Amino acid sequence: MRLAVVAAAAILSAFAASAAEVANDTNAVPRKVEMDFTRLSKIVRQAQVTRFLESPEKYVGKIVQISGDFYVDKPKDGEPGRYACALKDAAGCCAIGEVEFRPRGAPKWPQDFPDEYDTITVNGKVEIMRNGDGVPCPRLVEADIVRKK
Amino acid sequence: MDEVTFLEYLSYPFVRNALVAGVLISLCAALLGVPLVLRRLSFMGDGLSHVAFGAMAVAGVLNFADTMALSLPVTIAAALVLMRSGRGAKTGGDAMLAMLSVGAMAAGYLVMNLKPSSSNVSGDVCTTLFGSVSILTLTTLDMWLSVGLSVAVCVLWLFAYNRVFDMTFDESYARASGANTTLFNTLAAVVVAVVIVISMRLVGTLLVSSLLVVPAIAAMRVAKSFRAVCVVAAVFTVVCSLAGIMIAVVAGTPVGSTIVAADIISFFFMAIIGRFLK
Repeated sequence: MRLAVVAAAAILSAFAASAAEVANDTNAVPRKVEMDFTRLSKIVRQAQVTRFLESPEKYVGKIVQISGDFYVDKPKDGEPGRYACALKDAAGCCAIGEVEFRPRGAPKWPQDFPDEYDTITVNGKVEIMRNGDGVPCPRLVEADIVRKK
Repeated sequence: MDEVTFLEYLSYPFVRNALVAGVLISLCAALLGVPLVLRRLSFMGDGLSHVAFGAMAVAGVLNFADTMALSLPVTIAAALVLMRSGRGAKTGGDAMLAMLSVGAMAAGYLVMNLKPSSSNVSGDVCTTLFGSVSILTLTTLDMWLSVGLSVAVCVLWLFAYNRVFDMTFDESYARASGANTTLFNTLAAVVVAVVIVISMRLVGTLLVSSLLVVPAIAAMRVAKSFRAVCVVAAVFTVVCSLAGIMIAVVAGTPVGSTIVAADIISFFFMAIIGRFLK
């Protein structure tokens, strides 16, 4: 009986924490993710991410969710910051690419963002941008950062 | 986070492509492996795969759209050199194999470090050496090329079965009965090189000899005739490759290592079965 009460309390507190994540995270608005790379096994994720980076045009307009290290070019002199998620290989040791994202709304740096180099999960709509060499790259717009408290 | 089932993974085209290409590649490697093992040429696969690695590294640095465009002809050339070196050349076959093998590996890695084609040289080298995700990142062209070459090797093997049998067990008899053994050996060297290059996309450079060798020696534990060994090796490799790819996809383990682990574990089962059959 005591065990059942403890288990029920643990389940209820987990639900409460989950609700608090969404409630307190100004970026997280629930929406349907069409391609969730974070659910995949490591090697399928690496293969899928490689295709995403090499052929981003196939994903334009889709809501994609990715996970990786948070990198930022901090905002300065009135210029907005540049935010990116570095995606790692299956072994988790090396980055295989970086996806820039533009957060939804008007979050303020640094209070509305995780710490740099934290592992984040971010979802957003894919659009194409060109890097300095003119190569098409994916970028997530209207992005939400989903992070744990 | 809810786990993705294997059926959901099958909805990804690149997973389906990996299964089809993987099974065909391992099938033609297993068929080729039987005469190679019987002729005591098992290490040829290992040596040629190292040569192919070197060629792939150079092709990557030179920005070839498909590294096979360089690795295939270079590996074929190396196979022909090795074939000639076993026949009275100044440098013996095994010494030539060792020299080509380590020389090509060293040259390849050196070139990759001097002129890296990506920011993740170590990761790229690991992927190439152990085939962790290569089979899942095949382009459509890669896939059709691998499938086409695999089917061609299998068909050629079936058509030349009798000659393969003769050359495996008694090359002198085959020559005496009028067979053009030089032509056959040349063709065999080319086919081995082709199979090595396409097999590297499945299990990587360092593990490719397992695709050639393990099905053959596992089959020899339970089968006694040449035909039966070939059939059992074919079934063995198809089952192990399918299992290896499926497990790797779901569990997130490197594909090449998982397939080889499945091969080795299955070999021990076959060895136990073989004992009971005696």
